[in-house]
Amino acid sequence: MQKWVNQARLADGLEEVNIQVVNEIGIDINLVCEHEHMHCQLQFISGFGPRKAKKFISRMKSMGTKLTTRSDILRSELLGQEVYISSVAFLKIRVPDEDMVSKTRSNFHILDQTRIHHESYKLVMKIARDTAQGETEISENDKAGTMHQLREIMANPAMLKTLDLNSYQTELQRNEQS
Amino acid sequence: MKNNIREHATVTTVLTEQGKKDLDLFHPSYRVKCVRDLPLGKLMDQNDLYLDILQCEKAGLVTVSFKVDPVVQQNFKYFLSSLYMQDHEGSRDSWNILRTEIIELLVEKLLMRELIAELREEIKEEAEAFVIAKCKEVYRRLLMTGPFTTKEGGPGEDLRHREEETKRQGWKTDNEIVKDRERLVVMGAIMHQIDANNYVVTVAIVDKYGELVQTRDFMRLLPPRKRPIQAGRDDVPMDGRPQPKTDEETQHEQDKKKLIKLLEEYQVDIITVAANCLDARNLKRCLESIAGELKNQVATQEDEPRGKKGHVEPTVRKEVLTIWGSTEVPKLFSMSHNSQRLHKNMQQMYKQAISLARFEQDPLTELLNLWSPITAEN
Repeated sequence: MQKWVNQARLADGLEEVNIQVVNEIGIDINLVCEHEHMHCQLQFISGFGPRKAKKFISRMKSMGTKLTTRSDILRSELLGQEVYISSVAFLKIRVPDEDMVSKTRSNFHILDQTRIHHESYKLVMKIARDTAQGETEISENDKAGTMHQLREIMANPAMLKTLDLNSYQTELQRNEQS
Repeated sequence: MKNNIREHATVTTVLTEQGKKDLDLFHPSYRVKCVRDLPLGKLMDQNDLYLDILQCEKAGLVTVSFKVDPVVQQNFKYFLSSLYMQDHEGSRDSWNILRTEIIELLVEKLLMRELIAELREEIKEEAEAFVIAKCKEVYRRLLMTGPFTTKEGGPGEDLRHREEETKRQGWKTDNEIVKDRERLVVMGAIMHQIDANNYVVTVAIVDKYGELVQTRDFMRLLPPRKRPIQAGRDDVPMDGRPQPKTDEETQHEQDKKKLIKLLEEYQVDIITVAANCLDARNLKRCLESIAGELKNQVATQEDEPRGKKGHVEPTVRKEVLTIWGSTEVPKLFSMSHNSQRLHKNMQQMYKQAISLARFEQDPLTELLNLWSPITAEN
């Protein structure tokens, strides 16, 4: 029956699904750029298209190194500011263990491996700190503690259910106003 | 008015001479034959039916007619009359008679036809939107299969267990990398017939990231058929000695050894067999037995007396799973724009075997590889 419908409309609809699914899952940018048969995923990332994806991959290849943080994308001028903002949340950065040897782990950010946007990192870290209760309370300056808590939450997302979202939202708004 | 017609109109299909011949019980559009005074509301419930009707109309199998309830038509005329003759209500002048005639002609000859044409277009749009929505739903489900899912309790569960294990052992550093899901080395095996008795089995092995590492053809991987017992001769001679192996059997043994070597060398985790012909069942059985042999081989090695250091390195990590794979995506891939780019000058069967293995490993990537920048190709 799909042959009987307007083919352009159908193709548009299916392309929309491609975009939704790829963005919902996100891509490991280092892995995608490294393997040619995975290149097709990049064009469906929000902000990209076939041309930008091709250009991005050729630039990555000419750069020769893997990305270690999301901000590297902007620093190395792989993407413009606007495309970066639209796409960065869907570009995950995972570095395989074998590539970790030469690099210091402090370069990596745990949230670069998720679909959380760069702009929301502070808020996410605050939420992570706030989920730690009682004796395990984490201060704002305790970066190591925050990272540890983030990791705990990523391993067990049910931890977030301890937060009463409505009252937490009101509290956040009150704090912002004050 | 259009809404009114939509509520009260009915659709009827009448078979043409060609339709009488073609539209039998086995025709996929047989249901179109039975449409008699079907209210539009009900037609809309079976959203794709209208597309079917249109297709049959285009093929010259049926003629479609829309009937509007005469009461609705009459009401429409009254409505128009009330607009044009309200100032002359009750008068019997010739102008009003003329107006009434014109309105009747307008409704019957022009407006109804126009409205029905518009309505047909609307229904067609809705039916197309319904089919596209269904296609999108199915496609999305297909893309979301395999290791990737955003749902809780999906295949990511393994990853979570591993995380918990790492957590128990304690985090080494603050910024440790969240490990990717476990990736597997997959072998795709496709069988194709070269003549009445001979098959070629094409295998392709892709590493855990989907990169092609090896392709090979096997002429005698399937066990040879049993030799016919000739009259007056038994299969096993009287002295009890087995008959010498035929060339086919020797080649089969050699092919088996080669395959085992490949499985060991590349540490294959899964073998996916293309379900493209009946004899593929034999291939699957044969590959399962080879996997079983490998498993026994490891078990025997582990049972052997331990070496000086007190441990034995197993040659194969774990049991090789043999599963069925669909040939739909591999076939499409072998003809796609991307396969021309990725595997230049490679035979179709190799491409299919590669795609079969990759699809099992990472369905999302493989399906996206079918996507072409040219709309017509999709």
